[in-house]
Amino acid sequence: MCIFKNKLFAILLIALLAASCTEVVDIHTKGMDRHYLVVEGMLTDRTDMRQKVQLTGSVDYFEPETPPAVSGARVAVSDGESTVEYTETPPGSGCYIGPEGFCGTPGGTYTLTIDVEIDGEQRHYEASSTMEEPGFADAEVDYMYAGKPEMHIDSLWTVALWGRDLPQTSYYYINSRLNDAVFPMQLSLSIDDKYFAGQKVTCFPVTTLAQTGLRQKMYGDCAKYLETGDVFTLYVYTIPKDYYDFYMGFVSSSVGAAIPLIQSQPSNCPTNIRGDYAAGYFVACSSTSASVVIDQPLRPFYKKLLGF
Amino acid sequence: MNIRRLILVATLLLLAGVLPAVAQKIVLSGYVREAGSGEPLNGAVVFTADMKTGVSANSAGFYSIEVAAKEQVIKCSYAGYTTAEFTITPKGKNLKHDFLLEEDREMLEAAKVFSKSKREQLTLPQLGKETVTADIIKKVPALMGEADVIRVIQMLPGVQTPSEGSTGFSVRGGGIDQNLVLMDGAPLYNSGHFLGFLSMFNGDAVKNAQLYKGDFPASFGGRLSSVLDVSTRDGNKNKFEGNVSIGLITSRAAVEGPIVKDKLSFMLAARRTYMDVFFPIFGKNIPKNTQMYFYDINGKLSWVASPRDRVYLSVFSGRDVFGMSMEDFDLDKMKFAFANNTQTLRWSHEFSPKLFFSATAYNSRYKGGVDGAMSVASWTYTSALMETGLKTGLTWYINSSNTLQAGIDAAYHRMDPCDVSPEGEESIVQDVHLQRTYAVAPAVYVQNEQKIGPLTLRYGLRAGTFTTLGEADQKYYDPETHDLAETVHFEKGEAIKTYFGLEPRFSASFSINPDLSLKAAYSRSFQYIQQVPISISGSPIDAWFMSSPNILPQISDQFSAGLNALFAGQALEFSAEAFYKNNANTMDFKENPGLVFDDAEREGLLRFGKSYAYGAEVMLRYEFNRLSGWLGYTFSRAIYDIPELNGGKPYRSPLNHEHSVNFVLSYDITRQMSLSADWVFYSGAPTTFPVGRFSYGGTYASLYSSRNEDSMPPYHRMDLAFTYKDRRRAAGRPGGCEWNLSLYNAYSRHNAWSLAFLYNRMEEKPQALKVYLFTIIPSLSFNVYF
Repeated sequence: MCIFKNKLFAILLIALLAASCTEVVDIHTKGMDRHYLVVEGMLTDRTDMRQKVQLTGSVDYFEPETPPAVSGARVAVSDGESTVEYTETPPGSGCYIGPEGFCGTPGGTYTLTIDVEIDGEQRHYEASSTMEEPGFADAEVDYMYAGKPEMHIDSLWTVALWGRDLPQTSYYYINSRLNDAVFPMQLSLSIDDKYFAGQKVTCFPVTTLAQTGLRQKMYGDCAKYLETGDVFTLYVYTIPKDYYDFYMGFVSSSVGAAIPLIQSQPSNCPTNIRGDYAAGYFVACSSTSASVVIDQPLRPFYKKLLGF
Repeated sequence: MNIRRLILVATLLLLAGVLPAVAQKIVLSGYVREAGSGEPLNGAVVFTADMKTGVSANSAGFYSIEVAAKEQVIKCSYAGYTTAEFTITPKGKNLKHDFLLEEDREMLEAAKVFSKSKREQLTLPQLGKETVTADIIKKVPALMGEADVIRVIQMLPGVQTPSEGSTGFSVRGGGIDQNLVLMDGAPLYNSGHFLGFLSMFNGDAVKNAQLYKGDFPASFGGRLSSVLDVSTRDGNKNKFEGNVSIGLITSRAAVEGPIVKDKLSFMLAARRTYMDVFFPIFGKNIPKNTQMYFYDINGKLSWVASPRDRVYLSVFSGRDVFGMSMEDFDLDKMKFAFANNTQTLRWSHEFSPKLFFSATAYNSRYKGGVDGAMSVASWTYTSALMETGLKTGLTWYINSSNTLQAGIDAAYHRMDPCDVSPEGEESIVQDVHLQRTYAVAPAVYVQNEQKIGPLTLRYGLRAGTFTTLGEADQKYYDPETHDLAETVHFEKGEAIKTYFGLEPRFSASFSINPDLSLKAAYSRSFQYIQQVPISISGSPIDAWFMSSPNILPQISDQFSAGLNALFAGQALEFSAEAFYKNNANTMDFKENPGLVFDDAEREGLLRFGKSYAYGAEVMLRYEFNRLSGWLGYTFSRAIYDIPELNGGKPYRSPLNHEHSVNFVLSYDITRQMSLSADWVFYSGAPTTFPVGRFSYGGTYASLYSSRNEDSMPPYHRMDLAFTYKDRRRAAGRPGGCEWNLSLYNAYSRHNAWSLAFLYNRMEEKPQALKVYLFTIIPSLSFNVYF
């Protein structure tokens, strides 16, 4: 239900905006006393990727610049016994990469340490996260035709997830890749497993894929069209509840549309980064993945569903 | 507060008042009614010619006054009506007399409308009480031309609108849920139509409304900030009459009359919007299959069962529907529906000229829901609140100095927080049924109003309990970590948690001279059912909570003091009040609650603390022959102090505007034409602006400093209304017609409903976007009376 309710809110918001009027106004905000360090760190158990920590800064709200990369930091991750240093790659990018082959293990607790100079002062930050055992098993991904002839859309699919939610309470973060790249307009979704309730998960809708038409209409030039033979991979990460809370807070503050009927009190999203003026999160998470090859627009299984 | 000491003092005062009562007096009792319709005139004043003794008629129009057994004239007056007189003779026995008041045809409408406060009212030991009559409601310019009692309430000092267009209201910095809104004694849990832009109260059905801003009589309980007690018309007992109104978006019809003359009458009023009928005109700009309408029906039977018995049956049903389909968003159907239903049965009985009894049984049910269909996900979501109760009250007119009231109330509550069901076999939506909760809330109260020379006191005590009941799997949350600690099963009817509260009420009025009085009051109130807004402004999907093992009842102590004065031959009335409120167990959602409809762990998301509010209100009512109205100013500050929020620092309530000005006037150009206007100004509501932004995963998010330390832009608006009556209507004869033209937001100010801070990806820069709902809204209605 979570997805549908989010969509429901979005539709309500659109309806309200359509019924009202808007205008851009000049608002004076007082700006920040000091700049923040923003940490975007994820440590997984995947060996097919390099572990990464992205460091950026913050800017005053109406400052036109994009937040700068934070370069020259010392970034290290420790499992309590050994410490690995991350290397900024490429230099000046603020992207710090772990050594080849380095990954986490479910059950392990990992501590991220950052030493960096911001605003001319030396700052020290720490964050810890415990990698939980995977809470989701036997993952499969498939897609179903969801278009309607009257909509004049060449093809529109709903991607759904199958699998088994294990008995322990878990929270999930889902993202996806198309072939070797992060899927454009990627799905990043956090799910409370109360929606699965320790049961077999059948046909949990995750996102919508479109080949042309609607996708282009909605996303313009940034849309990448699916082609036959594309490999779509879904990653289901088991995340700590704290990261789930962070993610939901982040979504709330990133939407930022202050529609009184549906917006709660604005506040900073939570963080597990210890140290002054810090935002973002460092999370250790185990993963399960499943792939599907886009073979034909309308698959036989769904013909039956649609009554063809 | 030492409750025992208060009770002792109250008992001594009562005895002091009762004991000196001696013989040589008689009791005059009866009803005050409008001569034409037989409608009871609640609040009419019956007094001796020397004005040393006087009483007010109660909601049934009943009065009882003890006077010296000598030949003298007793008068009865009510605003807008000629004063009636009755001469008593010293026969030494009790008398009965019904006052029938004639409408004052000589008085112009403007004066009639606002003529509420006279010398008799000055002596009442009641602070923060405002009475709004049907005449006032129809005079004040209204949104979309719909006469609305809550729109008038919002124009009074101390009452504020949380956001543009909303019919929710905040009284003295309190929450919207802290107002007890009663329709003929039955509580309404959602009093708004159209997501709150219009209220449930049809102007044709409303007789009058009393607003108590904190100094509640002991007969009211369950809310902290205010009581809005709305009474509907009983129906004309002598002749049939009615009206039909045709407006641009709404039409109304009302009819009333006798079923058995002077014995049994009825009133029926209904209205419906038909905005959706015009949607096809707008073509593709309006989503397909859009539905947007509401309707409501008020019905009432009033029966004079015997000279001593009155029986009333009142029903109300209102429903809102807002639905559409949007193909571009893969939405086959989305329909929001909200419904309120109330039923009230009231019996009043006069045991003796000095003893009046009333019992009210009521039922109120609010149900909201969303039906949706998207691809293979179709669902029905509903949530509901129900309250069934009985209120009994006994009024003993002991003597000319003492009026004692006592009663027993009992209420049964049932709450269905969320039911989600799939619609159709193909729907992949899973069933979600959050646990239904039950509670019972009995209460007893006693109160005495006592006159000691120039001093009038009212003191009372209300004692209530609130018990949540099984069957339930009660969750207990750790008060420190807020994690679920344990779940305990309770059998059906088993008590889960009981709270007990003593609520002392005290107020005093001291008349310095007939035109000047000083008043002071203290009251304590408990609130056991509360709403914590998911959103900033309050919406129909906001979550209600019953007190539970995790949620303590909110407690409010309010102190207030003020003065009332009459000037210029009573043409001007000045009132000033200051208040201080201290609330315990105030709650708010934690930061980033990530709420969804069906969150079973909602209680674990709450954080608790305290809050306080203080302020001052001044009001000048003016009432001249052609011109009348009022000017009000309010200063109010409301602060929340919840240690786990905002880094432990207190923060301002988002509902409170620190400064507000209300100006209302009505001017009779001729007997046929009148002009009315209002102007309102609010300083900006507290809000939180972002101070910075950062990027995470390619998406921007905002950084904030302190909660609610910024303010929205100031709000101001003028509304105008012009009314033209034909000669028959202007002369007060039956029938006739009138035209009403109104302009809401006459100078078309774009008042901010909200500010959205968004990153404009096209221009690659952040922007502040003001969302405003209304520009100028003209409306025209034509009313025919028969």
